[in-house]
Amino acid sequence: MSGVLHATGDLVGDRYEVANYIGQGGMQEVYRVHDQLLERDVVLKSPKNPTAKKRFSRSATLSARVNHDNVAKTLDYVEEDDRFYLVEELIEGCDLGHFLKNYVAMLDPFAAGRVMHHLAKGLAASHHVNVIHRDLKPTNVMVVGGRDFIGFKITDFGIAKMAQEEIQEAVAGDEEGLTSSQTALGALPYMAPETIDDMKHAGKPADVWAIAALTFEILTGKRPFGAGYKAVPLIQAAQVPPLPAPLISKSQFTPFVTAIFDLIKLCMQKDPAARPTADQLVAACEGLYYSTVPREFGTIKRFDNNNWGFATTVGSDIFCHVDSVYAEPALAIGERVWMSPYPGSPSRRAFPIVKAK
Amino acid sequence: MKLPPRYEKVGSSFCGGGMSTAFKCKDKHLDRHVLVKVLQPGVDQKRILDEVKALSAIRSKHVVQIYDVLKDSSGAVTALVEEFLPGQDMNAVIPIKDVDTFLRYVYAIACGLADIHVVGVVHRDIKPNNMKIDAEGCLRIFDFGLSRTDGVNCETIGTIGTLGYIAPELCAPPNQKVNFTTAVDVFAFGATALKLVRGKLPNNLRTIPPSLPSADADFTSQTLTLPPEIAAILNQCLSKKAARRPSMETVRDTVGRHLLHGRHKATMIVGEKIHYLEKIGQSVKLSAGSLGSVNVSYNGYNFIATNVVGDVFINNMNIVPPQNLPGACVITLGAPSLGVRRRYITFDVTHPEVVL
Repeated sequence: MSGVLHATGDLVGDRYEVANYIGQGGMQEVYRVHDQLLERDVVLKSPKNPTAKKRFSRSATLSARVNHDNVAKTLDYVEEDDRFYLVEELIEGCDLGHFLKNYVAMLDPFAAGRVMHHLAKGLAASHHVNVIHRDLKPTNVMVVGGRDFIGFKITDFGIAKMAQEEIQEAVAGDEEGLTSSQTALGALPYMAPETIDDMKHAGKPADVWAIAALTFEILTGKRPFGAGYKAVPLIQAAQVPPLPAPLISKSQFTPFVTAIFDLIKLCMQKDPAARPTADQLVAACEGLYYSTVPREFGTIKRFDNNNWGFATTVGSDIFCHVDSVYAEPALAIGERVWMSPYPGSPSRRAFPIVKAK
Repeated sequence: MKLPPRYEKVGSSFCGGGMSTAFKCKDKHLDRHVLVKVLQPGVDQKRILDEVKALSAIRSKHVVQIYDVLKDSSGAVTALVEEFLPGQDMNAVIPIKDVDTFLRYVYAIACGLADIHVVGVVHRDIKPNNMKIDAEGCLRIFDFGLSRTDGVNCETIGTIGTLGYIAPELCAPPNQKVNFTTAVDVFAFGATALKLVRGKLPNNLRTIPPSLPSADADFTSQTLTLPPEIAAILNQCLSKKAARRPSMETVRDTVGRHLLHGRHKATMIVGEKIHYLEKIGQSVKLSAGSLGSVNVSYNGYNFIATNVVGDVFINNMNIVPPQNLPGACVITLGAPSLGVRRRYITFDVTHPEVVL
């Protein structure tokens, strides 16, 4: 794929040399560029629609106010030849949407809790400077390290203000109007009830709702109210569906899954004023207990009696027991898994284990 | 110097760390404050180039962010533009009266320095004046005006560094070149930690060379009672010999472990029942009649298996008591020959994540 606006080698702002096209969000093209002045690689974003200049520049200044490790840093803003560009720190990795689609669709609850914790920290920092994101969703979260799943940064505060009008028009219209707007379609599953009525109501509590909806998705593999136009009345009713039974059937997971699900429900109350603030959510996440041992990918090479077996990894084999597998009754030979290894004999032992792609 | 129209000076100039003049500006493109550091006339241009190079290379939440460099009409770099950090430096928070706050600051400084050293940069002027707590409570290290790439020779002494923070190996006679490594930052880090505890540095450290060892600089005998392992590693940071100082990575990991002291929780599942072990000194006996038994106790850092009787395995390994348990394991009671009569207990350790 290549971008429409620029080709490799183009120089923007007399400083940023286009290396390659990364992709496109709903409303902008994204490039990896080399900053010749500081001799480092950064990210360049430019809206597809050049008439949106005022909103884009306003969005850039909003995002530039936020300064936190869990938020992608805004480095520069350039206007040139009727085009305008936001320069952001380069995060080596992928977005969370890509991670869910290509690596692991349903995270183990400990990993999901860690994501929620880090996103809550980033959100709290932005709310401290009165910046509201308005469009939090997996594709607007960068996973540092990609498959290595090292850290998490919220991005595209810049685009949120711009997206607002498009989303509002689409949601207020009919199904056809909604499906024709990729931006609105992507935003909808994470939108709070009050923003469905009117995007102008997208305040801080709507961001808290969105983080919880996102956490629901990574914890269960499903969006809380589904996707598309059918989700609208369900979001407005704000009845968070209960956790599927397999997610709470294994005692090594039950206490943590329950704790994180309680937090999700707290954040997804219909009344915005009843939801915790981002600071309160951070405090609650600081009370979550999880392990930070890195995960590995593997492939099941043997699984006996639906009970136990071994996964091959880039390192040595790992012993996998069915009780350590989140939300699945068994594993099959050839299946991919994502897990944390611990010392054991003759093989290392995995806990927790989830299915991978 | 004349500023590009993008930057508008706000307020008056101040000293930007010896080699440069600094002033607050408004970046009109992004409507935010930035700090512009201009090289003072007559100062070697290499200073600012080194600083720009260091700041561009480092990726750390504990280090100030560089945005831009400014050049004169001949194309030579004369100034850099970096993030403006409001507020006072670390001297405003000393002396620190409680161990947890001290450990959190020291951990943040160690994380930042480890990030700096991993890309081969030596800061060379680590001290409380060059650190601030940002609006989000994150400690930030700045002023890389003396920084160098690891392995480069330092030219002279006296003007290099700040009295009280200068490592002994830098104190050679004038005109004599000395080699230095990241260990000079480790020494300055030790002196910084000492100042955080004491409020001011002991006179023994404020000489060239510092007179060490010094009872006043001993972390085991300060008003703030530190965990012995922390006091020991901080004392090592002030070692006279550079080679005896630990790496910042080691310091970071040691302090990080102490931040979780007493905050672990072990979840044990015996049959369908869930039990927790989380109090320091607490101990449980896991037993299955004549098959075997083991005691597990918590010392604030680890869960330790002792008093093994009969056949007990951890993740299928034999126990050599006292043995630290892995972060997640299955404890099996009974010999393999017993088959389905063996008992299994899952044992998972979790803790809050310290995100500074």
